[in-house]
Amino acid sequence: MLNDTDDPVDFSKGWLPPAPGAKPYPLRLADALDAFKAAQYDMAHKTDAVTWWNQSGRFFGEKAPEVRQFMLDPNNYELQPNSLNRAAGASLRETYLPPAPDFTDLKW
Amino acid sequence: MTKELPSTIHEKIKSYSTKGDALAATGAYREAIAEYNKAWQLVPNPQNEWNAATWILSAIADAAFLGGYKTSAREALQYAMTCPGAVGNPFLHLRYGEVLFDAGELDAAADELMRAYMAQGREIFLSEDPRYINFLETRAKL
Repeated sequence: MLNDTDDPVDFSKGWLPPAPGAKPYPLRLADALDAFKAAQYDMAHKTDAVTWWNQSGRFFGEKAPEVRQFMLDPNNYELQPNSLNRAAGASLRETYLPPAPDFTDLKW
Repeated sequence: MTKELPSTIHEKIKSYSTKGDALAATGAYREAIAEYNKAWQLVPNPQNEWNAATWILSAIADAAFLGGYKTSAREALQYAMTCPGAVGNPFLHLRYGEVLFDAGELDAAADELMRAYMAQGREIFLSEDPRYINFLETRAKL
């Protein structure tokens, strides 16, 4: 049974049947909750700047304090997944140390 | 939390960076990056905790971009974005957006170019190839 603080679970979203040979249904409810919350967490940290600008930011104008506030909020910025993993991206530099680049040999 | 370097290291970094700036101003980007890289290697680990990392990587990214070393520019920018004060820096977002655009990663490019525009407006694009602002205009109501 879910607690009041748990998010409601909608299994119709982002819930795929198991691959052949994978663990058969029914999965444990705890697994389902973990997967759903992980998906939500990931989505919560994706804020597309273009969408936000078109819908809200442009009414303030470039350089406006509201726009600046959006830009400086690390929750509105997602690091590129090919350099850092997404979980690390949520906290930016606080807990994850990506490998530092070297520029001895330059790359085209 | 960001940290300040000991003054002896800071002075060495400034010296290498000044040499790099002089070389970059003449278009000698490879040589400039070699000087910047000496400064970069003086930043203690983990490098992304230091303010100096942000501006050294900005210089490396700029020289690499202008010199055509797009992969190196991208590596500098990706790491720079984990350094103090980088998120929200219009110049870094501009260069990152340009690199991503040139790599064909258009959604990510639009996000970065949008951030540069939000911080500085159209003028940040004035000295850039017009293809970047033209592309952004296809995505955003400027």
